[in-house]
Amino acid sequence: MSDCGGSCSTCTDGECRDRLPPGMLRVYDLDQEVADGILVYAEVYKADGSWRLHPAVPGLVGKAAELTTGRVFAVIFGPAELKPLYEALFSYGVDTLYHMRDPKAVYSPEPYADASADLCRRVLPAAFLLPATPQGREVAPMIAARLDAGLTADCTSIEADGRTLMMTRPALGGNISATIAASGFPQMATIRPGTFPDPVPEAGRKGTVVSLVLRGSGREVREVRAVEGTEDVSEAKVLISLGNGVRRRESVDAAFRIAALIGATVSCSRAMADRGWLPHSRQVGQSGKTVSPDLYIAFGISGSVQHMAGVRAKRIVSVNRDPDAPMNSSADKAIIGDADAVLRSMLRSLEEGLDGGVDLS
Amino acid sequence: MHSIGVFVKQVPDPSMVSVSESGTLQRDGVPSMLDPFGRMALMTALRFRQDAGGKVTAVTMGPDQAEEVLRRCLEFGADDAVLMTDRRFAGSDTIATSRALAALAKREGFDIVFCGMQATDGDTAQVPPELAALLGYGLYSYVSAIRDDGGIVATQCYERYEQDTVMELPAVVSVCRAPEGSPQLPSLEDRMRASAVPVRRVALDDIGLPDRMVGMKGSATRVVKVTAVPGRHADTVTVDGSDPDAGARAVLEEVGK
Repeated sequence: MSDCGGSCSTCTDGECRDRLPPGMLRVYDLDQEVADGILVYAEVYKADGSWRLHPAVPGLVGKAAELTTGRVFAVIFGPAELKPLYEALFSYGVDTLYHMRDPKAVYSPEPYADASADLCRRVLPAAFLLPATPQGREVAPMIAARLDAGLTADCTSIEADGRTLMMTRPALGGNISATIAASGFPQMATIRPGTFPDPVPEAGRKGTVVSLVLRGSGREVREVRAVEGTEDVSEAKVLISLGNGVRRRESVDAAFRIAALIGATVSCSRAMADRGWLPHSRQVGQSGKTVSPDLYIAFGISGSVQHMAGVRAKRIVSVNRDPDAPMNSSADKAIIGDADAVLRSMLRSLEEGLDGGVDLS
Repeated sequence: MHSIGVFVKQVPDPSMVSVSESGTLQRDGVPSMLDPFGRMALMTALRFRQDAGGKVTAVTMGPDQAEEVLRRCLEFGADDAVLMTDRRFAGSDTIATSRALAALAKREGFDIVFCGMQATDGDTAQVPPELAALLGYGLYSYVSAIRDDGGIVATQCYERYEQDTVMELPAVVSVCRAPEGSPQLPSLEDRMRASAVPVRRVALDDIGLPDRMVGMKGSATRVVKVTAVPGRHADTVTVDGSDPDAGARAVLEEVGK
């Protein structure tokens, strides 16, 4: 018996089905009914009148392609206007794309979970990866409950051990990391945006599109309002991050002006978000976002484990009055000084530079 | 009269958990607390009772000492409390936990269930959607406010947008914010009243689930290993920033300015 999981064409009696469920096979049947591989939930959103892929999606597709020798599937929900996104998904490595036509284009967890669960029953993927966005974190457990599938939330790494995926996630405020495996199929996981790098797109790569009609109705939504701060901190290359040690309200404005001048994005710690000075969407850490910038400049952030759980920076600079702040020992450069005063001085220096740096002496 | 359930969790205070130099987790003597998101759920449930009427039952699953968080809920104004405790619940992952909670919700006849959007120990946020799926109730996630506006309207906070959704009962609501004006501490009268309310104890047999549906046996995931996370360590260059201009220069040279 080959280790085909009962889904390959060489399996005659299906005896191995229980022992070796479908998953990451080297030999797989091209018949879609019994294909294996990895399914990716390709979340989309509409901004400035056009549909876009959520920035977490390319990294998920790239990881799926790396983990499986089988096919990479993706499911996308929305109206016919999503068509321009097909090409990008194929270029990142999607082989078969299921487009669930939702003409109303209103995300609603129940019909999306029903359709995703039905798709899993049809495609039998070895694994199903979703972005750990509010939408992904809402719909994934509903799908898992429908399929009795094991789901690991908010993974920060995935490795294949044979057919089993080893999914690692932080827990207990980032103090520990737990490696978790699912006991059945599909093995489901939501992945923190920013965890996997975007794959290099392969221009002109082709794939198959299967269009299906979304069944079931959504809920009555009275009003949808865009939230301020749609800049994505998890995508930023340089972050100016503000914490509890920032005491002056005008420092927040200063940070935004500095960010605009040096091409950075403003993020914050939980203390800042709780204070209401910056929106939760900019919060970095265990209960916020994971960021992986080239440079993370922490102003007045003590560097709790919960905060550091979200920081995967190449280089960290800390500005903090307290020489014993844990952030300083994590930083490549620690500036012992007042966060408000340093921000003020940085802004002054940059704006003088803009004026042409006229030397009056 | 609504039958309102609030599912809460007892968690270790994460800011008090530390990792020793040998890489093991130090939990000894770490105080437990009512999970902050569960507390927001409780406050939202109490506000809902005030507006729509009904009885609020606080529920938690855990060992004997988890009764403490139920006492806290009673002190804040819950009418009734249920402690789901049974050795056979131990080792439950989120789906096994949700099965037990769903069975209890059915038994109690809850028509609306409030949960925190996640708990601070696991942070999975998986129980509310799983609970809704298992109960066949509508799911309303990340709710920051509920108001009566020709129907129950919930404000839901997604990443890039907020939406006002008309809620249909029965429903599971995951809460991301406490209503404005929620009390920080219970009043003395409430504490007196709470001390007279018993906490009901419920075991696996009371909710009519077979052993294999809960605990390790009922779990669809297994923990392969747990490792303590060492902090990031760098060869730190320390700069004196007592002069803000010197501090600013030290930052700006990092970005080539």
